[in-house]
Amino acid sequence: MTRFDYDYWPFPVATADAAVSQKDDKVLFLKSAYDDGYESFRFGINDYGARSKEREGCMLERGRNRWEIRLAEGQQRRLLAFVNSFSAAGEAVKQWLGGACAKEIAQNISSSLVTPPGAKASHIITEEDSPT
Amino acid sequence: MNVVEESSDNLGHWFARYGDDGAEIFSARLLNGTDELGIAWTENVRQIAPNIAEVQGAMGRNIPRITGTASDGLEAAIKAGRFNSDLYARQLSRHLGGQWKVEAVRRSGVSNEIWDIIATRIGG
Repeated sequence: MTRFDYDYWPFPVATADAAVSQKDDKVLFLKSAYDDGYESFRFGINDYGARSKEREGCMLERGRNRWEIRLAEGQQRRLLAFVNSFSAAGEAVKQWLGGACAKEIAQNISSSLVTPPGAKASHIITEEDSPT
Repeated sequence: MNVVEESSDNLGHWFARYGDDGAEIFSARLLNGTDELGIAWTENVRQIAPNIAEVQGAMGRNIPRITGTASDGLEAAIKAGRFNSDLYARQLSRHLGGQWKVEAVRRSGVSNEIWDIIATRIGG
């Protein structure tokens, strides 16, 4: 796998897998999203994502304990947020795929939000969601 | 405060620089088996080359390749045509030695906009 390829779940997780172990929260995310009917994947060095037909969420590793969440609907970014745990990022992505709006997700992860040095804010909601 | 060696994980060895408040202002992982340096975060892109030079100094050998994902701010610069790859290549040459090629590549295969930054040492 190169840095530009994607590992789509389910992929084999060997004992010596370079990125994840069976009990790892990343595997739990990949498996949970897949079991919920979404396409879940790993990419880059240690980045993750999942998508439905209309929505996609990606989690970028931004330090030893920091993750950046990017939620998109089609090509439109709706939320960019930084959190201090992978599990919070994974929950945000799953809520997004489940139909939650960006503002609601930002509230749900508020206790995990962090502002990395140099970033303007802990989160940016790009566009208000239309009421459903 | 200097760049310090941190713990290893199953992907590689972490290096970090901390601000006065203890927050990571630069963090990168030296990947196992490749000597590729994956940049996770930098507070200031202008400080990235000196920080990488400290990692290279700690390694005791040349870093051949550096990768990372553009932050929101850097992404805006790329889209506005203000990402000067030649400037970053020159900064890497000055701090790390050798000649460098720097590219910003829009990642395909995802609907989220993600830009990969790839710096490659030319000629070993």
